[in-house]
Amino acid sequence: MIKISNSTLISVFTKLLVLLVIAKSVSLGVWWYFPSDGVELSVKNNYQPKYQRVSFKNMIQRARVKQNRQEVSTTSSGISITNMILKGLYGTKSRGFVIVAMKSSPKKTEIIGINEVFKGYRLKSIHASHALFERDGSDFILNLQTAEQKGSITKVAKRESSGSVGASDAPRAVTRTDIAYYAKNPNQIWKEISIVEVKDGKKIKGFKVTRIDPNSRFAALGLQKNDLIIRANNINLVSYRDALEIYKNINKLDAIEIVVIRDNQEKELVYEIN
Amino acid sequence: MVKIARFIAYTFFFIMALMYFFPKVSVYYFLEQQLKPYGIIISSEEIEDSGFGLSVTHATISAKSIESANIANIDTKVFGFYNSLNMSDISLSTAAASFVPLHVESASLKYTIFNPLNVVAHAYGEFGEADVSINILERSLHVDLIPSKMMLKDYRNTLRNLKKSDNGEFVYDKNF
Repeated sequence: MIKISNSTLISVFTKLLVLLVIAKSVSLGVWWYFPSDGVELSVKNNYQPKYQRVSFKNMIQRARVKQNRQEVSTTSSGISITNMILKGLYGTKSRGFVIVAMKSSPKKTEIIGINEVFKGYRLKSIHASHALFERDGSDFILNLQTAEQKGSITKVAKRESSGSVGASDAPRAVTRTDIAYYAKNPNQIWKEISIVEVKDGKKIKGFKVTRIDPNSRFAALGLQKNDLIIRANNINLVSYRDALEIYKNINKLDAIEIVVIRDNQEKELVYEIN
Repeated sequence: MVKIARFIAYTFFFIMALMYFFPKVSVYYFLEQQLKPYGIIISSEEIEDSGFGLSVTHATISAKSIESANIANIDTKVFGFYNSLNMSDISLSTAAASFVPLHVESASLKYTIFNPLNVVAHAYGEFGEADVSINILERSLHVDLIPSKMMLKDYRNTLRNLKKSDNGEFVYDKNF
């Protein structure tokens, strides 16, 4: 019988086996050292309520029209009081007060509550745009004085609150043609404006305007150098993804509201997309 | 001479055995963690150890939390002396639609000991064809692009960022 242990085959086989064991041991060492789990994308969804632009002026006007329609029948018998001015009103139909003055001395105002009497007229009820007085069994309507009736428009000073959000400017118009132009020529955006992320520790807290061409469309839209854009359409811009979401959906939007920090105060800029 | 041949054969066998047993999935996870600080995350993928290589399918690549590309298939071969990464059916994010055509047929990266200072890559798709060279020592990137008709027609603004060479190709150089 040939001694198998002395054969070359066994020698080669043993060497290969040893090499296999070494390779496996090295692999196990690497496997022990390296991570056993990968990295998955975790995105914190922004659960801020969706931004919706609401015109309170329109709502009030609509409500007034509705109310007036209902009240025509009840107040149609009223007679206008011509020598009095209704400067303001506050409250509901049966509760509240009005501010009235005589036309002869319009600056001398008086506050009248429901059922109180002014110059012989008893305040019966308060409505959206007028007050109803009663005298000797007859109803008299006193309409709210409007800016047009006064003959001049009082200039309202801009109010800047020292606290959080400052007074918003009037909405600015942005055309879809402009948006389409910048979408097709993205380089033009970066020629006119430079924006960099600003971090608070490791987290992005907003995007800062570091350069803006004063003759650009962006400057015309009210953005200024050093503005820190922190929010857009109620979404806190804490990642590039948040910013991109706005960009991707811009064609579906009819308005964009952005909040910037300017001179340590938050300022709201509203754009209407036409 | 026989001894040298035997040594080479044993070494080759050892390398092949090492490649076969190597925990490629763990190495992949390790690379994923190395990319994370740069904001690059590969997610939703299916990983399979294919013996001498690694197969990754349906990978979504995100840069800074923005979904940037979906890659249907990635095949990697790591032999030490010859390493390759082949990607096919790449769909870029629609956010890039203003800059480049969104579909890339394939892209392949190669690194061999015969060209130890450079990683070379080749890609082709709707944008045309591109040859990329990354110099590890100089930390530089060089791209030669042969644009497609679609690229020349619809993406002229992107091409304006590249230098046009004498032979009609477009060149992009960047140091990192």
